[in-house]
Amino acid sequence: MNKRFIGFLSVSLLLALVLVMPVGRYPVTVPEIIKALTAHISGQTLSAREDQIVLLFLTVRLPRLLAAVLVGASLSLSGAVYQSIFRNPLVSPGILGVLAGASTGAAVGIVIFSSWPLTQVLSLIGGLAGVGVSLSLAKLYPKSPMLALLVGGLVSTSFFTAVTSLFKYLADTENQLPELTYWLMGTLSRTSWNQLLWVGPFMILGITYLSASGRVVNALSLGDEEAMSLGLNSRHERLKFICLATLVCSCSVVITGIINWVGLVIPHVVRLIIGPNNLTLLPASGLLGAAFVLLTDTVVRSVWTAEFPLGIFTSIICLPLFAFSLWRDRTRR
Amino acid sequence: MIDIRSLSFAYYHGADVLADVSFSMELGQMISVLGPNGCGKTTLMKAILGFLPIARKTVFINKNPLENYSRTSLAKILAYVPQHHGSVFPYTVREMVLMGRTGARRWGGFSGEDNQKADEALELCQITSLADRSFLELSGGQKQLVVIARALAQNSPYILMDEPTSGLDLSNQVLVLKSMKKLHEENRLSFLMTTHHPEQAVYLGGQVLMMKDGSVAAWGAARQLTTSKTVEELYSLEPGLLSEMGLVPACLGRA
Repeated sequence: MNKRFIGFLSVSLLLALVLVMPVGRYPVTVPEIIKALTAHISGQTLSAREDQIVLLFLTVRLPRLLAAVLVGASLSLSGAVYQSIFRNPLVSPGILGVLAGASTGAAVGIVIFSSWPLTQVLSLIGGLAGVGVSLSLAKLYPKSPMLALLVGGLVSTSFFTAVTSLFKYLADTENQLPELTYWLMGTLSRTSWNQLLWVGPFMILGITYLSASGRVVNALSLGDEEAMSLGLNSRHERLKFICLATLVCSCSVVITGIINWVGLVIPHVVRLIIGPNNLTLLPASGLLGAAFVLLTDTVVRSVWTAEFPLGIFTSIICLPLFAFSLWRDRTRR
Repeated sequence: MIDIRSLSFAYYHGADVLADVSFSMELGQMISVLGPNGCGKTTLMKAILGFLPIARKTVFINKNPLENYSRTSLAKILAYVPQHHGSVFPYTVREMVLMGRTGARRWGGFSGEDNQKADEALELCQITSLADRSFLELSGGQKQLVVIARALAQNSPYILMDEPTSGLDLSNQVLVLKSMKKLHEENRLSFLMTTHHPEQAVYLGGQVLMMKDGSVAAWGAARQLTTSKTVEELYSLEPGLLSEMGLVPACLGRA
């Protein structure tokens, strides 16, 4: 059943990618896109419309679709990994302070340095600082580790949000402030190949590695001593997975800003459908997260004339979904 | 063979929790570690499993010092059944048992050999019928059997168990002890178990290691050494108190 579910999700994601290709303000069909691209690749002379389609598809739609898939997979997969290794189904990149920390790092990169490589590095450092603060605070109250981690994440998020606000306060009100504010709401409208080339390879490598790590993540979800007795250097492994999950989240923040809830809700929904085994939970979460962000972004950019930030819509959709998954989980037990 | 040579250990510059402990465990042996709370039973187990930063060349596994083993190679020799289980997610029993194969291979799905080992382990512990049940829904005794099955799937010759009947009702205690005895006698598995129940050490047979204040107080054959007198001495009770209160189990010698 679980392998079939992953197969179903893979086919659905591919189908969704093809179906959303023509969706947007500029009316175009899938056969038209395929014909124009084939002509472009084979070096034939293109008509004015074909030229326009190729330009639109390669410079605007394709990077955006790829970014949606990578961001959705990163957030959802890292959420599933955090939940398993921290043995706490209520944590996510947003709740652990990873997104807030990465935003602070990225804000510094954008406002002060205006450099993509530096923004990416600062975003990763910020993300690690965010999760580091949460974990350090949680260790101060070992009696209730689950609750302490949530409160630690709350404090960390609040701290890094405040630091980001400070940068917004200091930013130039004409250009930097609106750009920063809009970016922080979570949007894929400014995705470019330049961004994708900087962060895409890290995201693809991270997603691939995390998706294939189910066996190890399963053992880590039992706690340090049991994981060690099963043959893992648990401290080293845990640190490695925290860094990798934070890396892919930070990369997603560089592209879209903050997209909350996806990392919490999608793994919950998947766990509800196929159970907690990380061998299938991790790839399935990545695939469903990718499809979810892809479809939500398509709605956001095509239903209204003005484009709303993606982050607002994912939160609106995820909230009832999360409530439903909690209710369903409770009634099943 | 597990060889402990003058093992001492203290937590954070405190008093010694283990003081000059020495004993050996041969393949196929059953050893019960008895002693009052805080005598170092669990610490001894954790030291052997490499969870604690102990001095070099105090624990030898198959004649090699513990520090020479990686976690993966150690897991191929020692399996661990903890007192409390860490699962917070509702894994199925089969999934829990398959986790015993983590050290064999870290990537991809489970191979035919992994599944075969898991099936054998479930069968040996007589819990095949529970394979698709959620681990979190099981009784305490059934959970212990699942973790024992996981240790069997790990295919390690030595199984270290920390108070395996702690918190279990009588029927679950019987279930776990009978399974251990059967696995030891029929499959020649080696068990090192800590317990607060002298009668369990006698029932399981083999050797008993009595510990007091971090040191070895007595070591010998469980059925000869575990008497009401030695137990009273071990737990600092007045001589004859157990008999007076009618608390001497029938299986204990009265000498």
